[in-house]
Amino acid sequence: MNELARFFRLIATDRGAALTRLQRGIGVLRARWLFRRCEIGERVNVLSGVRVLAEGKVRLGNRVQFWEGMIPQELLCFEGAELTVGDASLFNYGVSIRAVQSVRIGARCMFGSFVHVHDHNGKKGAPIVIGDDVWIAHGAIVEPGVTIGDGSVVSAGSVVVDDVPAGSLAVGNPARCTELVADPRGRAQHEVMSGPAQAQTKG
Amino acid sequence: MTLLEELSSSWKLRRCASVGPGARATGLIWIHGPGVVQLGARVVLDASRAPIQLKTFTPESRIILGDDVVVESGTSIEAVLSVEVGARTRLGCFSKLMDNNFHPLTGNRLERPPSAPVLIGEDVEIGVRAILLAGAHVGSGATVRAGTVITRRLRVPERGIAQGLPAVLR
Repeated sequence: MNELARFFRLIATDRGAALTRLQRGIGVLRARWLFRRCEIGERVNVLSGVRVLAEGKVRLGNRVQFWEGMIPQELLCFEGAELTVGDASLFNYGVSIRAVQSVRIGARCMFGSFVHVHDHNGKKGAPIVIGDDVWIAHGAIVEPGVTIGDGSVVSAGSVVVDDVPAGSLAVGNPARCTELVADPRGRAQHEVMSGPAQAQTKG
Repeated sequence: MTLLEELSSSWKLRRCASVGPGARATGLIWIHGPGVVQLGARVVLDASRAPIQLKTFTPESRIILGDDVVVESGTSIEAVLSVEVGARTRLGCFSKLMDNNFHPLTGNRLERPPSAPVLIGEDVEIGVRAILLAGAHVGSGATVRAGTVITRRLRVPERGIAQGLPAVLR
């Protein structure tokens, strides 16, 4: 009841903030429904829609966000497979993740629009491991069996076929890695800022 | 164009600041944000297979499409500063134009880096799934092949052909 009263007070003072809060609340409820067969953490937020298949074991961490956009995201976990997403990871529209064996995604990762992470391409299948603080930009493709280290960046449109070491920048088709100078202080800031309140900075 | 098509096009393009005569829009078209979107004459937005997104982030943001521009399905244009597309240019399916990378490579990933305008000349052919990032500059009559990523490092000259990732001139 106390929270409801606080919400009504927010409507009276700041209409925009109240609307954002409401959208977030609806998103959290929607996520609970969509991921009802999965193990999900607190405040997982789905701003539009996600295509979910949870035949295998799906685990989502706290504050995972699925943003709205042109095309809904796709999170498929087939029978006997394992799909794990760490805390506070962000998924932009059109992201497609398919697990036939195992896909593990770390905490605070960012997935740009139209990123494909499929651990089976019809012939070959191998588990994919993506570390913490990884940013995979628009349209990049991660091939089966790839391990991406902590803090790495995969640039837009790249096709990652080999392992990416931690703290590196992968560019090209096929992707080649160069070193990326990471700032550990910035990483902590990112952790603080990746709460749901930041969802509106980019849709 | 029948009357019905004309009416539905003008309804879909109602959020544009200015629309030239004969502009045509089919399918789901998202025009959002506080900025200015200007479409030239006879622009075709064909979103029959996938939605088209024209997004502005600030009141100063500008998206300008010249006359006779054809935008195919799934194209997304995001402008923080400005994206300008010259006349008679064709944007292929699922191409992406953005004038900001939205996240810095290092440091606080949710901080927005500075923008650099995207400028595309006239009679340009942008291929399927091509990506034009901040500061991309494509000269008139140039061709950007499918899947190419153009950044501020490579300036495509007039009538040049860019291909590959990282992009090279042919």
